[in-house]
Amino acid sequence: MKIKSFIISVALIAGLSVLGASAQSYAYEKYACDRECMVNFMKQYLKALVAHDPGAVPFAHEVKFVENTANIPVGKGLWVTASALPTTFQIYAADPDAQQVACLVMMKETGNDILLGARLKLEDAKISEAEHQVVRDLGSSAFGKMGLANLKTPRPGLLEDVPEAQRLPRWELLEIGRTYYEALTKEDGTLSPFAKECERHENGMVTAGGKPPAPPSKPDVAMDEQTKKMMEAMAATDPSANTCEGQISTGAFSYISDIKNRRVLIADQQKGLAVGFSMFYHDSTLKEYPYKKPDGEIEMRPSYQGTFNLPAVHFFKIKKGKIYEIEAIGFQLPYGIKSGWE
Amino acid sequence: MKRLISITFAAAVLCFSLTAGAASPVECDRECLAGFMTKYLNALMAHDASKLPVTKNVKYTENGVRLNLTDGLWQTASAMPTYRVNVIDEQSGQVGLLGRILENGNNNWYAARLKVEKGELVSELEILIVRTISMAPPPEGGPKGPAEPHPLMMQVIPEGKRLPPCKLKMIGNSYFTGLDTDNNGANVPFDPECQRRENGTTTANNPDYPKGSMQWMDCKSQFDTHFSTIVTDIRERRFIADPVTGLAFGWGYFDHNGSVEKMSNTLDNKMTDVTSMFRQPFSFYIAEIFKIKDAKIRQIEAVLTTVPYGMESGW
Repeated sequence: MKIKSFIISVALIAGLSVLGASAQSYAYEKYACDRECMVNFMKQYLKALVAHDPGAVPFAHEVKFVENTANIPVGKGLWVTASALPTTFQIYAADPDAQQVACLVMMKETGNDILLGARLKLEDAKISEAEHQVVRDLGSSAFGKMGLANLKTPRPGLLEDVPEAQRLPRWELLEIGRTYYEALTKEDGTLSPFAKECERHENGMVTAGGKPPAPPSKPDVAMDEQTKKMMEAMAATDPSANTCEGQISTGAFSYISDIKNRRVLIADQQKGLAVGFSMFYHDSTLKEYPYKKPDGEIEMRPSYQGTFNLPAVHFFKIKKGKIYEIEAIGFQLPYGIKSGWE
Repeated sequence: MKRLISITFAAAVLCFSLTAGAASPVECDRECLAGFMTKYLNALMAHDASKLPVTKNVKYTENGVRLNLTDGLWQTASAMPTYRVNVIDEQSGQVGLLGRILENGNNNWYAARLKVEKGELVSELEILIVRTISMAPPPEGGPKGPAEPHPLMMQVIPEGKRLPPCKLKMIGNSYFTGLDTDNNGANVPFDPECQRRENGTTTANNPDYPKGSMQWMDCKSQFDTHFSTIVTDIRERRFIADPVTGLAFGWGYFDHNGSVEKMSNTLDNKMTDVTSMFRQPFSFYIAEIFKIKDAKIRQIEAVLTTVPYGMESGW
C-alpha cells in the first residue's frame, strides 16, 4: 500500500483500518490513496453504511451527499436501511489521480436485495463527495427479477487486471467511456470502439451481445403496457444486429431523447475500467422511429412511450482500446429530474 | 416537529383574526379562476404555452421538477382531463384540479395548481402526474376504481354552512399532522362515513374489502391503528381551499425513511412486520383533496407518485 506525499499530523480518524491500523488511524495533510488504499476505503465506507455509523469513516467538513438524485444529510437514506454487506457480486474501480473510487455491488437493505452504484471523492483523506444510486425492488419488479441470475457474481472480465504493458493512459479510458453516450444519442454504434464480443448488462439483464431476455409470458408481477412493448421489441431485434455496436446503429434507442450530466469520472488503469454517471432523458415526443435493418432497409417502428428520466452508472471494461463488457444500473425517476451534480 | 406545531398555532391565530376582520379583496373571482384553468388546459392540448398569459418569471414544476413551459406534459398531453374535481380559491388567487389525463395513450392520474397574479397572469403552475411507467406497479387485486369522483366532492355547501378558507386548510392540515406527528386520529375531525380514494382506488371505508382489513376500516380507525409510524415526515405542505364546495387541497411530500420494522394495522394494535416497500427510503409526492362538511372530513381524493427520498418540491 503506497501513500503519496503525506505528512503525519495528528491522530484520530477512529476505526479507519484502510491505513493498516485497526484500532486507530491517522490524519494526513495532502494525503492521497493509491488504488488498493482507495478500494479499501470504499469497503470501509460500505461497512460504515451497514453499521449505520457515519462516524466510522472520515468526512470532510463540507461534504455533499446525494442519493438517487436527492441531496440529503449524511446519515439518512441508505445510512438508515443498509442491512448486509455485499457478498459475491462486487466490482470496484479506483482512480488515484482523481482520488475517486466507485463500486457496483449487490447488498441488502432491510433484508432485501439492492444494487448499489456508489462513488466517493476524497480530499486529504476525507470524503468530500458521496454519491449513491440505489436500484431497489429487484425482487418484486418484472425487470428486477429478470436480472437477478446475472447478479450473483460479476463477469470475470470485469475483475481481471490488464497486463501492465497493455494499460491505457487515464485520459484514453475516460474518452472511450464518453464515446458510449455519443454513440447512443447519435444512433451510431461506430462512434464507440466496441469489441465484437462486447456484452452489456443492465441491472443484471443481458441487453446487448448475448441472448436478450424474453418478456415473461405470465409475469407474476404487474408490467405496464409500454414496458411490455419495449421488452418485446428487444427480444425481436434481428440476431445479427444484437451486438453493442449493431444494436445502437439500428436506431432502437431513438426513444432516448438526451443523455445529460455525463460524468465519466473514474479511470482504473489496472483494471481497464472507466466509470460513467449520467442522466437519460425520455421526453416521449417520438411516435415512431426509423429502424435500420442490418441489410440497410428502413422500417418505421412505434417508439416506446414513457416520459421519465433514468439516472445510470456504467462500468466500461476496456482492453486494447475496445469496450468488452458494460455493466450498468439505472432506474426510473420523474422526467427532467436533475442528478444533483449539475 | 415543534416548529410545525408552532406554525400550525400561528395559522390558527391568523385564521381566527381573519374571520373576525375584513377579507382581502378578490382579484380574480371564481369565474375568472375557472377561466384560467380552461386557458391552461386549452394551451396544454395545443402544446403551446404561448396561449397562456404568464408572468415573466413564471414557475412550472412537474412532479417536483422545474421544467420549461415547452417540456414534459406540454409535449405529450393528448386529451382533456376527465374525472375532474375542481378547487377554486378566490382568496389566494389559485385554482386546482384533480383528475386523469391522457398522455400518448397512457391514462394517467393528474393534479394541477395555478396561481394567478392580479387576475391577469399565471405566476405558478404545479402539476403532479402519476405515470404508468412509475416504479410502483398498478394495484393488484381488489375492486376496480370508479370512473367518476364521488358525487359529494363537487356538491355545493349551503351558504350558511360554509367555512372560511383558513379553517378548511387547518382541517386539511390536521389530517397530515395526525399521520406524521400524532399517529392517531384523535385530533382529526373525521366524519364516521369518511372515505378515501388514492389514484382511483378506495383505500378507506371500502365495504368490498374483507372486514377488519385496512381498506375496510373508516378513516379514523385507520389512523387509530397507528399504521402511520411508517410515515416519518410530511413536509412542504401547501394548501388552497374552496369554501363554496368545502374543499381543502393539500400538496406535499410524505417521507418514509425505511427504519420502522414493526407496525400495527389493526385496532387491537397487534404488531406486524412492515412490508418491504416501506423498509426502504422513499417519498410520495401527493396532491390530496379533503371534502369538509359540517367541519368534518367526509371524503378524500388523492393522487400520489413515488419520488426519491428527501427530494425537494421545487417550491
